[in-house]
Amino acid sequence: MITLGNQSDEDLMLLVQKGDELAYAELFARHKRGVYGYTRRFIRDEAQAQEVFQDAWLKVHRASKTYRKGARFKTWLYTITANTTRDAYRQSQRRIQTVDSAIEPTARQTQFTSGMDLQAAIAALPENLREAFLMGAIQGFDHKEVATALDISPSNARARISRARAALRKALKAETNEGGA
Amino acid sequence: MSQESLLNFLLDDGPAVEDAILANLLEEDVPDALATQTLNRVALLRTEHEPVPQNSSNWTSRGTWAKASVFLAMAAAVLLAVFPPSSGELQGNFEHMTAKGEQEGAPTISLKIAAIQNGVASRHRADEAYAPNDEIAFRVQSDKDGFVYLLHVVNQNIDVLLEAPLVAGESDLGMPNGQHARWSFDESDTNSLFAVLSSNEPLQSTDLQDGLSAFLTETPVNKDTLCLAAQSLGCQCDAIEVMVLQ
Repeated sequence: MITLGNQSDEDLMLLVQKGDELAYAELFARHKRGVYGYTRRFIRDEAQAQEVFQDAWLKVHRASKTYRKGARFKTWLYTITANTTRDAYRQSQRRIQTVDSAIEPTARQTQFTSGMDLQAAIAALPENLREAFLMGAIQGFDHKEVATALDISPSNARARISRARAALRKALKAETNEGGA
Repeated sequence: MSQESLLNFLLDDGPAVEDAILANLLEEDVPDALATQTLNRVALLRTEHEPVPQNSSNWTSRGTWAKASVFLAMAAAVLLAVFPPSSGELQGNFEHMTAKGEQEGAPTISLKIAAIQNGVASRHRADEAYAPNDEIAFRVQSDKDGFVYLLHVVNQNIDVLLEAPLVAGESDLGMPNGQHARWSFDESDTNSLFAVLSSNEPLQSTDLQDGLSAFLTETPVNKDTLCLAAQSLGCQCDAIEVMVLQ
């Protein structure tokens, strides 16, 4: 028997385009943890991250008619998620910098330090490298998919993932060396 | 699975690891209240969503189409003199449309603009700056049948001015009543972008606006970013930036 649960994301999305509420709920159930985790990697404030999460899923619904048959749903979903998250992240950064500059002249930035664990090291990556790394290394998107999601060229996507890996390697190697010393 | 193996994989130094382990690295539990609230908001959105009728236009609110029919006829004649006559029929003829597979690319489309200043029509030039009461008209060229959408973009604000069937060949963009579609500049206009998007299947203007907005996060929107966003939605695109005397 064919149920929503054993249909592909792409088939479900085609049902969503026809107004199938259950198909949307199934896609939501499948990907809500990933989308939420992605937003949380950028937005530290939980309430704001929840707003971004909701906005992203509302955009998925609003833009559902523009989903192209044959396109990978996950790439399409994370394109919307990444854009929504990026907008909110940059707004929050502007607010932070405004507050910081009012308090002290130098803006604070997260820096790599020795002793970081993997999550902290990823969080310390610059925004553009973090986006590419989360999609390319963890979500398993290929360079073309990362490029599509981030609206950059595939070679740029490859370069960003490579730079992210180099930065992580450096940070985590420092941790290993210090830990082993 | 050791932490070292995971690190090696992430740093491209080791073999693949299980999806579940990677998922744990990225995914986070969604509070039940948040999940419920999100689905409720989507349900609310669904009930509020009213489809926009095909070929509806935002232009009527501007009073653009209140121009005298005599002037329209005159301008149409001038346009025909500016642009060579097309071999195909104008848009609106569904009989000439053929069914398209959804996997097939959208029609390749290009946009031309004619300037109508003091009743005289001429080709739009890139260095042209328009004044109040100047008008522009639109002609598209397409390699196959489909659907066309005329967009007006100011900063990040996107308006779908016109939705119409697209016929292969070259044709003037027209209103449902057969009149040529024209934009009449007034004091409120600023530099902006006019674009045509093509698709194989009809799209609702609200969906198109939302879809493009989701992809357009950088300001200002220009021809390149708009058309890249359009391509992400499976559309083909052409756009012309228009300057307005300030």
